[in-house]
Amino acid sequence: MAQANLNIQILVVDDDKQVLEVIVEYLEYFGLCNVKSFSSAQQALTYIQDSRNSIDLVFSDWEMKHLSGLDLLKAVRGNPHRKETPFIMVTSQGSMERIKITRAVKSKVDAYIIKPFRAETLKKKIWEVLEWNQEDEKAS
Amino acid sequence: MSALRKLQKDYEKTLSSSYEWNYRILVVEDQKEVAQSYTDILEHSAKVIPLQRSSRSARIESLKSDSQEKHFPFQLSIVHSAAEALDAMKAAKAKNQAFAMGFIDVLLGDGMDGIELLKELQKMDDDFYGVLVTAYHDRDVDSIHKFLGEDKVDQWDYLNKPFTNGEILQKARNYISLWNLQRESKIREKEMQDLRNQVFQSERFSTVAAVARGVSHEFGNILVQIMGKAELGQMGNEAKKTQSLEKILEASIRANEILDRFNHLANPGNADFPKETHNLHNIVNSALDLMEHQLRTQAIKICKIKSDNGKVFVNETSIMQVLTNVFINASHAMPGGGQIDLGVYDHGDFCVLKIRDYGTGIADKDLEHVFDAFYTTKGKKGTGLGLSICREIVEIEHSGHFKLYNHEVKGLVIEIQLPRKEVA
Repeated sequence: MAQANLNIQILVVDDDKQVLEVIVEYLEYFGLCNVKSFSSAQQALTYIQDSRNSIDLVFSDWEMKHLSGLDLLKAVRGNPHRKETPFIMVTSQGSMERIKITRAVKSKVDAYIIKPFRAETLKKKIWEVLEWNQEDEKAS
Repeated sequence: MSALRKLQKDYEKTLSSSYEWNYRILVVEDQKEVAQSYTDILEHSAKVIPLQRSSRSARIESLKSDSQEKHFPFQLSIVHSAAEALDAMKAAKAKNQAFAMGFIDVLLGDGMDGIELLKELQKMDDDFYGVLVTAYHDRDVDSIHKFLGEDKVDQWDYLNKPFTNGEILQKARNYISLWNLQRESKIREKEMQDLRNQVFQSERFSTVAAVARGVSHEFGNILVQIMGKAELGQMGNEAKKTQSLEKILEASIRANEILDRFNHLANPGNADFPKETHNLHNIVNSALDLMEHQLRTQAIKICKIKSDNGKVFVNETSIMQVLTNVFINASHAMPGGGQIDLGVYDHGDFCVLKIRDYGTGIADKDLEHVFDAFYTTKGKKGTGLGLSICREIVEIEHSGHFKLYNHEVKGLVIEIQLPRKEVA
């Protein structure tokens, strides 16, 4: 368990601008302020593929137009610089969840979170994926 | 019959379909007398004799319990050399009549021995079980294991001469059973997988599921907004609280709009929309009248290319709704003007209406999504509900069919099949 490093670079992708805004606000509230956000999966993909961009955590919606979260996950895993980059998938509730999760796990997703979610859940997932010490955080 | 019920029926049919057991055995034995004994033991599968010790006249009586047990109608192919064995294997593979197992004499005269032969045979057929038969103790099982390889450890067995009738019979039964049970389980597994895929497909294409998924996705997003803004607002100052409340109100209005659109789909068909016998030509004409202004201003010509009997049993208003929707789509597809071809065709218990436009058609990548609720290629212009409502009306309310495909030359074809009589 490591100490939380709030300076990490986070990429957030959701084609619903309102949702995107809420997620970014949540992250800022947690003290995570280095956030790059895209409401277009295509633009996010271009950003991911450019190896000069530093990304420490990806947070992406599953169901987006044209490109899905799974496409982004595959792009991240397919990039030699980003093989180990933690990836959290956001999905809606629905009958296909089980199939989706199986597919995402195959492409090595680190965690998934189902909409809607609350601050606590979101923070817990991020801290878990980054292996940050949650107890320390509470104490400080 | 509902799609699910049909799948269940198909499933039962599939599982009760019988699997044909394979009883083919390859015997490789260079001594003709011993080879003949295999035939005697396995094809008649009755007599018990110590093979090497006696002539055929000395056989003792059959195993009495046999007739009560599963009958094994073994089919033997006997060859006398490694070369013949390889040819037999090749021929069997070509005819798609693989051997389940083989008895292979280790000492085969000139050329390769039985162990080398087994390795070659298994290269040709991965599933083939081999029982090595030898009178000599020159090769121990460990050296054979090393030679055939770790991955073949469960694909071979070993038998010393002189063997008994019972040993041969029981090995044959064991390996034939093993081969067939494994094959059958593989086939069943594949059938199950196919069925799972069918269920997946049927769910994917079911209108109700598509609409539910769309609504669920939208509501998930809206709830993220409502819950997020409420939670973040609680933690912020007054200004932040006011701003959050505004956002929450916005999200609620968005939810309400989706509900309104969704309610269109939720109407129970029969109660509110009684069906009667109508002439489809009249309904088409009424829809065209309604659209007249739009079609005229957009310079779209209507061309009736076929006029078979138009008798249908439908709710006029619902079908009008479908047709206007389709005509609107067609006119959107041809912003610079064009033509719509209409044809009414006789198709047994159904009347088929084909509507073709001369627009650009629909890209393959969008074609698979057109019935997904909220999917639209029209940006802000469409709600993405039109086609899923049309299909719902035709298929669920009327037990008809609603198909859509690109015309081989140009444009899109919508094919609507409606029943001529009340569907029980």
